[in-house]
Amino acid sequence: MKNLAFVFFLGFLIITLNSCDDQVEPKTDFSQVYTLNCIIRTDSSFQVATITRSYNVDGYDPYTNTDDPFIKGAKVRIYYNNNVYNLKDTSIARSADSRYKAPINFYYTKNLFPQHSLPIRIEAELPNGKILSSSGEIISPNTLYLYSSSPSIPSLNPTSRINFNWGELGLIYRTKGVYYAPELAILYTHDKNGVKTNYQKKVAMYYIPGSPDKQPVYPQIQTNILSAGFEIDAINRAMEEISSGDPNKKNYRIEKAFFRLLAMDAGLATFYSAQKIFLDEFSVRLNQPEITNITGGLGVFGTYTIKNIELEIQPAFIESFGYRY
Amino acid sequence: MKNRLYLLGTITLLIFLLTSTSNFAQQDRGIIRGFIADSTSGEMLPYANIYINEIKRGASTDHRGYFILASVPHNRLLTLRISYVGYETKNVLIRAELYGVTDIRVELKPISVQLQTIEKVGERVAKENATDLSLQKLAIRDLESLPKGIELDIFRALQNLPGVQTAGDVSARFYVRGSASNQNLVLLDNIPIYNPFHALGMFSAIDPDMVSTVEFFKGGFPSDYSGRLSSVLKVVTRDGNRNKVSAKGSISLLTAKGLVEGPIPNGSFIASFRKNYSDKILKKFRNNNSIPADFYDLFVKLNYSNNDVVKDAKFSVSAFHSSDQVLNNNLRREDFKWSNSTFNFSYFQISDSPLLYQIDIGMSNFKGARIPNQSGAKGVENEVNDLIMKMDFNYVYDSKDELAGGFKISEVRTKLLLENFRGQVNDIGSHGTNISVYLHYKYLRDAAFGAVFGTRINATRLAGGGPAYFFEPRASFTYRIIPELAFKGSWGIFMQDLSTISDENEIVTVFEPWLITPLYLEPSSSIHYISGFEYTPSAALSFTLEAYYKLMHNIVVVNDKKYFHSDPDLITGKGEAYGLEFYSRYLEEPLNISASYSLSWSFKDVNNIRYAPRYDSRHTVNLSFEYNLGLGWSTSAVWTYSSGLPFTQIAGYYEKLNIDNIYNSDYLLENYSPSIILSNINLGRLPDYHRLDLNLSKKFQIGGFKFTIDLSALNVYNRKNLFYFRRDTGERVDMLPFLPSASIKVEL
Repeated sequence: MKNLAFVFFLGFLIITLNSCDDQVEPKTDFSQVYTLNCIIRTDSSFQVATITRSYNVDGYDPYTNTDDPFIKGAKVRIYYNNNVYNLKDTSIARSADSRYKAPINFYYTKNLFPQHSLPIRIEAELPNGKILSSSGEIISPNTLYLYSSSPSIPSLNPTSRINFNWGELGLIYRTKGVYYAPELAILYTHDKNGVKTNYQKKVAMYYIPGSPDKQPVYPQIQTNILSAGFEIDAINRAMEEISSGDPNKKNYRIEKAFFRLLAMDAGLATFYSAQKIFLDEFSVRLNQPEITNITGGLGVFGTYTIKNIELEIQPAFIESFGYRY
Repeated sequence: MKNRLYLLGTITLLIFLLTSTSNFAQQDRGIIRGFIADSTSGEMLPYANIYINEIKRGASTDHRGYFILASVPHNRLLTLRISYVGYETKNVLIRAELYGVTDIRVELKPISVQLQTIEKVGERVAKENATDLSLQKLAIRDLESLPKGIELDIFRALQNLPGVQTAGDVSARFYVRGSASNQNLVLLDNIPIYNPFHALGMFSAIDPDMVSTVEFFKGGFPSDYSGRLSSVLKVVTRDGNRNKVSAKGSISLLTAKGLVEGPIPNGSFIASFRKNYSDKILKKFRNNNSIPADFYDLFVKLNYSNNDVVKDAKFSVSAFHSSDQVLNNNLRREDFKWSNSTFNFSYFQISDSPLLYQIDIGMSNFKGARIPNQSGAKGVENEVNDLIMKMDFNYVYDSKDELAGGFKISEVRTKLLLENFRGQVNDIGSHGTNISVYLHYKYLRDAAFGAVFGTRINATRLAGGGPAYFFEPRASFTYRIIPELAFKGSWGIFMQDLSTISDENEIVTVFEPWLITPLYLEPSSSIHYISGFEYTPSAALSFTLEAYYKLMHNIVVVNDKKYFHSDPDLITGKGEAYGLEFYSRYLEEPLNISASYSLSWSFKDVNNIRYAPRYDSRHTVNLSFEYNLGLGWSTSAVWTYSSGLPFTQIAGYYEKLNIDNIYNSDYLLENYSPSIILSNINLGRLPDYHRLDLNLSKKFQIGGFKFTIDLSALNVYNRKNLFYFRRDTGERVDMLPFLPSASIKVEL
């Protein structure tokens, strides 16, 4: 039996005596990854793109990297409406607190003013020959319409809510849907010891029962949704919250309200919503989701169009909260 | 269609077997049944051995101390040899009644501390055709023989078994055969406990002093059990001393605890309380990082049995409560609170025929909260209320076959308050009722072959709606090829309709919020295929070899690709696990040696990405050595080895675009921040884990007091086992260093 016990322990004694405190390598072999970012807007002919390369650092603090990762010398082209737009390579000085001292490299064109609902494509050929590319779709500001059920707040008709409706005129073929991010806000000024500051107060559509208080429901980034309604109770609540806890109501001047509709293609909507939703969602998830629509690398390529409606806020309504108009 | 086939098959088999039992009823035989109890305390003895030498047959008591021997010849005087570890063996002469049931109650006398020996008479015979593949039965005496570390812990003891994986010293959370920890059902007196952990998950919330037995199914569990995909841990508590009032107190470097037990008219009671008093030891588990954990647990149980009131019945009422809080006293750090409460009323009845049944009515409550303070973390508040009513019966035929069945009604209500980074709170909890029935037939008439087959039928989903019913058919068998060698197999389908939503990649999981699987997802299910050999060349030596293959479908996971509010919070993935387990034991007084080895693979498949989950370890070895030195002295050693667990490596960094305000056109030139590029998920492996623990124990008596002193040394050769590294700093955080420990227990 003693022999058995001896054999029993011999195995792990050998391992034990030969064991060392293994080192772990938190990093795998570094491989270069490139990032392309370009967001096309339809209210301007000035379009910008940036290209960066990934980097490694000694240690684990990426802020110790001072080697500028923004790449110059790439050939960036945008294909739209049977035209090719070659973006120019330039740079601009960074802010003083940037850890990168050299000017930031970027690519631009002043000639791309997309007004038609057509596909758009970007392609970047890096100095080392690597290709990054992506595609999107323009939402034409000419065919995107938006109207409200009332020109002012509160509504002139007896309904208790103000509705906004939108859509695209004509028959437009798209491979992916348009995503809309509607938003109603109240513009106001706060006068504090003679210093006036402008603010915006976002308005919820309505409130739902919650614990301990009612919870606001704001419009979300969605596709196939062509209207948003804001209940008068939610508008009242937003007005009250403007000066919440401040008895000096007269220090607040209510300017106006505006409804803004952001229409995005799928590529931008996904990237943008993933960042916004991380702040808004009810989830135990701790990490932002990683998303890209760039073939061959990381980053985002997308397009957007904005439509606005301004609404007057009636003086009597403003005064009922004690504010100035 | 598949459900109908299961139903048809089950009914056909049951009709065949129920009718075929009549042949045996004609024979001139009887039934002997009864209870085996401790002569000093009156408590029932689980897993005691009963052997009838004249007919070469035996049985074991169940967790209630109850046994039954069917088809015993009536015309002979038989000698029942009754043995139990740590007790004097007793022979009882008995003659079975013709066609009737002969009841006995036998009391065994404990062997004194100094003369303690181990007897295993009858065990092999009792297990001849037992369908116990992947089942580990442990009486509290088995657990006490293991190195206790800081103090004896049931969950940590399980981690010495092959197929049970842990995330390391810092967590008592266990992973069985490649399944997530939320797929383990933990039952305390038939009532589930949803978060049975203390101190950030380092210790189990169940005080071993109140435990009588532990039954642990690593897979292929019978249809009595439901609601989880992977394993069942059934903890049965003690009844308490029926003969005299006694008390027990003990103190370790972590907790102080007390236990009182004694008789009440026609019954007994037991009450225990445990409270930690220092976090100095806890800090050792976390690289000397402070863990301001504060916890306690308490347990009370009353038993009543009076043949004048209800013949052959036993009533029990038990209540359990555990409470934890981690208060950092720092507004920049988050605090945690959680608690478990259970209550159970149990009615156990033996009828005049060989039928027994038990009715349980109980509840389980779990509350947990993460309080973010000003840490910037998200707040979470979770509550689970589970009201349970169940009935189980078992009928023994003259043929020795058995029929078991029952029903269970479980009403679950969850509250899950989640807070977003804007401070808004939302409750995504829900409630529902699960109604299920089960029936299984145990084919035990053949001494060399045993089989159990049956099914559980779920009539409802917890989330409501869905198909009308779900079948969970299960079958297992044992075929003893030669007396020393048995071949065993098991197959079954298992369903789970309740899940946790925490991130399994979190380094420390304080508590996992529970949620009813929403209706837009199918309930999780798994299929187990298990087979193995058991070889017992002698009464002292045994070997088992088991192979398993497990498929998991619709495993609930947090949707990492939730880009829009309309996207679901939860999605489903698939899982696959397979492996080989070897276990051997040599048990001959004064030596007790066991060795186990697991070779396993585990995979998850989410969003078409297949990866090894965080608890996937390829090789696991456990060696245990115990030696009874005599005169109350005993010593033990345990060495554990586990190959490195997976983790995700850093592949580099890049400048990530942040769109705070899309209306500001300058963000493309201004808003960038460094972000980590991770390599493919869990492709890296941490260094191997190994550790040696030693224990020296002495039992002695002074006057009416019994003392037990335990001296332990954990991680004797001070292996620096890696717990985790910080991605932001690369700091290495190790697990438990060399740590001497001591505890003393006093019994009156």
